[in-house]
Amino acid sequence: MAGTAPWTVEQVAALAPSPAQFAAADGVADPRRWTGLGDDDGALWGRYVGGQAEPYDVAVDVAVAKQRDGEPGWRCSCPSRKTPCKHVLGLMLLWVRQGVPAVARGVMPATVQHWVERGRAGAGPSPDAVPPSSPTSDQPTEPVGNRDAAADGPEPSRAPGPLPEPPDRDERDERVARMRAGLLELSRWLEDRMRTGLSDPALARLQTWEGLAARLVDAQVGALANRVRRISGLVGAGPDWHDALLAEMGILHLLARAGRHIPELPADLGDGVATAIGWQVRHATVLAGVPDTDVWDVAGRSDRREDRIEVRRTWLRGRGSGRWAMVLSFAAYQQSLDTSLPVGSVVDADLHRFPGSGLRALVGARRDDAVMPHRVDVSSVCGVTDAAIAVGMAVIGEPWTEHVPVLMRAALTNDAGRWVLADGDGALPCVADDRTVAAVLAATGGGPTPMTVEWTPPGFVPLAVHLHDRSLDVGPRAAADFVGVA
Amino acid sequence: MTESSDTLTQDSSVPNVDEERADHSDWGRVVTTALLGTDRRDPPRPADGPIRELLGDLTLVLGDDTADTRLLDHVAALTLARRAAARPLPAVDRLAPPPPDDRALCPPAAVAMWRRLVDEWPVLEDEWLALARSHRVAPPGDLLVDLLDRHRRDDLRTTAVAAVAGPLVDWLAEHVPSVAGHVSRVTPPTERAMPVAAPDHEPLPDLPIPDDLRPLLVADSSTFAGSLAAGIEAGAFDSTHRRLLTHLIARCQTAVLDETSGALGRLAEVNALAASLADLVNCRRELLGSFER
Repeated sequence: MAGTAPWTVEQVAALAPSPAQFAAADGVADPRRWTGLGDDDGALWGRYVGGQAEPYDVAVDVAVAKQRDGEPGWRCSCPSRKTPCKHVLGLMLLWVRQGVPAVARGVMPATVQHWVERGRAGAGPSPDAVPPSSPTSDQPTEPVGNRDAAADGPEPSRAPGPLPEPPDRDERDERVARMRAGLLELSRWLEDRMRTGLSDPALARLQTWEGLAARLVDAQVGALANRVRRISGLVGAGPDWHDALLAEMGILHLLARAGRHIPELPADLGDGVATAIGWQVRHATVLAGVPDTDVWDVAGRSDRREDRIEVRRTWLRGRGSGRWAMVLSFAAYQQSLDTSLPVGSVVDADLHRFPGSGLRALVGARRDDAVMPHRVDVSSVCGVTDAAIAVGMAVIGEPWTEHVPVLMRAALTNDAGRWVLADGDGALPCVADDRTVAAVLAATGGGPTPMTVEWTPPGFVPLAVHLHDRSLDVGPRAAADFVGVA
Repeated sequence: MTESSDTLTQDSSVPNVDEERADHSDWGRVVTTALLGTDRRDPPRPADGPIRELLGDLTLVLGDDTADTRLLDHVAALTLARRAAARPLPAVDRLAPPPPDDRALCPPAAVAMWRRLVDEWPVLEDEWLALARSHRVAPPGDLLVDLLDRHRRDDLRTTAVAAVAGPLVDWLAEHVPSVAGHVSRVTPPTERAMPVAAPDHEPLPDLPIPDDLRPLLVADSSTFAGSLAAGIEAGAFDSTHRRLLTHLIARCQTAVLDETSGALGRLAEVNALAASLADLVNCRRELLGSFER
């Protein structure tokens, strides 16, 4: 490490694209899994021998970080699309923990030396010397892909060439600390509620909830703050409001706890937790990931007001894969929601999924415009029992999920004053508003019909009815006086 | 917790989706404790089964030794079990079907056209309803509900909607009175019978049109288009006449639309009124075509 300022574990963590990725790297930073390790004045290399058939060659140039606002160069021969990958982070962790031996000059492998020299030559002067209008400072905020065309060979590399926006490490460290503090505060708050009981009159006061939500916003766990605000609406909302409220508090408890243990969770689960508590992932990062390519049926849509924002969920289903994806659109007062994916259309497009096992995705390249009218492919429609199983599996995968799409054949009918979606095997509670119920009844005449429905904790909401020649969009719709175009 | 969830789905003690009818003994005790608060009641001991094992593991691993935390753990585990392992309710009989209706559904283009009219040219809505009757087509369910809602406070148009909806609307009113119940109050039963094909050129409700413009309603193409274009060019028609001219175009003979579109289109680049009226003319032409299959 001679000549290079010492790094900390926290600095390495700040480079990780997600907390789960850092947790995975911790497992990789095991000296028994590495061969040929070396450190030549901040140029690190090694060969990672994991469970795969071929070892991965990993190199990191920490010395170049000084010229790049603190971001080192790296490359790894693994196929991971995450950048930096866990092997790069693992090598850095090993180095931070004094596990990479310093070697004499000339020992560095030639391929690494060549890569390091090119990277250092292309790194340019220190940031202090870069004029504001220089090309380096005008680089896009995110790399378009994680494969650098200027690198040697096909392996992912970050050494030479243009750099993405340098992360503000201090800010990221500070943010992680704030999030942890926010999660801890949420846990304490929930424990207080259990101690004083749900009959505590404080629960009926808006300030009780708003104060917590505001503190969670300050802690940069905005998704949890939104959840808290939604939950507050349950207080006194019906005769069984204690049941519903308590269940949601249980989920909050789960998230508050899981959020403090992200590094210990499996990668996908950790990413999912991070997203659920409000860890922001830049769209450019998502779009740089491997696309999920298919012909997508636009199978359903639902609009819901969440706090002061209208949220549109558009559900897509791959014709080839049968996989679901969800595209979100947001609109504040008098703003417009996305109307580019009308229900009943079909699009040939690349979707880019967010980290974790959730369904959220961004639409990337589209190979044609949405085609409609069109009928959603209902060849794999399921019945009531399988719909319940599908929802169960989705909840097991993401216990905090609040929306699960299902393509099912059922009849909307009434059971002692409440609506249910039924077939010969059973029935599922339907919690749609009167407009949606009327639209489904008018479309189906009360007969069994393929539908896209959305599970929510209180019950199922029909979103689309698939007739023989078209699909009807019957999902909850944003109020026209709130959004510009709904 | 995820690994244990698979076993939870096999647990026959897990309650139904139907929360009111399900066995809530474990959940019910948890809710009662949460209502009272752990200051006044100790958390219940989990019933034997996978949830108890799971909570035991949590205590071992995470050291959850306070009553509040143990209660929250219990709540979270039961909530997940209730959601992930919910079983359907018993099967329920279907509703009695509505009276049969042999009509085809409105073509998708006509449905899209109605939505456009609502946003851009509501003056053409009456003609849309008349065309739906003359083509003897039924509005699809989503559109019917929107039609009923839009004209809820307009008895005349509610009657027109009922005539398009046919006998389905009474059946709908029976099941969802908040959406369709008003129709039977304002519409005579004869209007809610099975629709028959209406004449092609059913008279449309009158719109305010000044007497001096009324002759244009029966004028031939060149007279109608020429008068309109000349009036705009000469400044005889300006933006203050927009509403009247809109009514005129909404009720003129369909045969004059093509030539009028051309005449107004030529002025559209230099005159905003002409551009707007040209859009209305074109919209009406598309409306007429939207019911063709």
